[in-house]
Amino acid sequence: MSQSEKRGLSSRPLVIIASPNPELRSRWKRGLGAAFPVHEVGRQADLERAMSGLAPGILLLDVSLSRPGGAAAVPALRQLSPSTRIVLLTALPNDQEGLLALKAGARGYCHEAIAPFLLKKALEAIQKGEIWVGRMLVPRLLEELTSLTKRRRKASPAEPDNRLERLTRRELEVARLIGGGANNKEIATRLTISDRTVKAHITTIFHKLGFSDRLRLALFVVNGSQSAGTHES
Amino acid sequence: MPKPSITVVIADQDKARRTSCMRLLRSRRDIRVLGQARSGLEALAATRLKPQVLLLDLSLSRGHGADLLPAIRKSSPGTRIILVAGRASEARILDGLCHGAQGYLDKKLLRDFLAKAVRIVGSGRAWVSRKLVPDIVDRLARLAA
Repeated sequence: MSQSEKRGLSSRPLVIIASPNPELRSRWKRGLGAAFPVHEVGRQADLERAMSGLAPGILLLDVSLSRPGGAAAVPALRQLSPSTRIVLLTALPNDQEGLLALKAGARGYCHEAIAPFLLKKALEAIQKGEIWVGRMLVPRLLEELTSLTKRRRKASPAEPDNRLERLTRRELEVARLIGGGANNKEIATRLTISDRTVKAHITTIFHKLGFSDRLRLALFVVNGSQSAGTHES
Repeated sequence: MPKPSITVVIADQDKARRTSCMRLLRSRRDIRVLGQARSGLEALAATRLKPQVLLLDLSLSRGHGADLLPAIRKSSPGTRIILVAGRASEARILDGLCHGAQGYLDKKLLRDFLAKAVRIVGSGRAWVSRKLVPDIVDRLARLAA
């Protein structure tokens, strides 16, 4: 194992500070104090050289240094040095860029004027495998995750499920009301039929659709043909 | 003028826990519990109340795979969901987060953090352990690939 590899794996990884702005570089450097050995670069060419040659544990990257800048710079840098954890710093943090950066493999995204003691805390957390982003980015992360998961499910349904077509118009009305959370009494009132008739409809519906409980029916109606659970599980 | 309270529905099949959550929230002036649900079916039905926050026992979605949360979100898109998890595996919590939950709370932490989690999630933020964020990002990166 080379010296630089050893250093990368130890608790004091080499940190590359990359920014065209010397004041910013020295501010970040001061924040890290003696906790991490530091190597400064001010230009793209020097950054690339340092990434390939030094196998740094962490890269603090000012988004304005690279061209293309911001999140777009991350994939190429990761190729140069796959083990380096990349933190993007920017004067104008925004959720969109933060999301792109994380998706591209960055481990941190924060304001370039981050308080020095926080910067050090961030690097320590990142060294332990955590991700460092502003709090407000997390709900956005979850929204994006949910939306991509939904899209993935829509793109590959288990099988097109047209079972609702087996129901009569009246049965469909009952099924939809169940999907809306109505109990039998409410359904009876709504459709002006007796409670007994409602129950009979439900029995038929269960039989026609192959369900044996109300929740499964309700989920099927609400989710449409995208239900993941089209079988008892 | 006082801020409007955050409305909550508690969905849990365990009566003792429902009661204790009620007690923990009832004393807060800025939180109002609209109702309770004892099953997945009742939780789905309770979306009619359009609560801002739904406290959902993770085991209520057991057996329904990935269907209960999307159905809740579809019925009431404005409702934000906090999963209450016992010894649920991280994978199940992550699945819940993938299907629309915006937070999760361990049952042991309810007493200390329930009200806070409700306020945080109710105001648009998320309530997840920092340690889980790398797994969330990992799933996101794989889906986006």
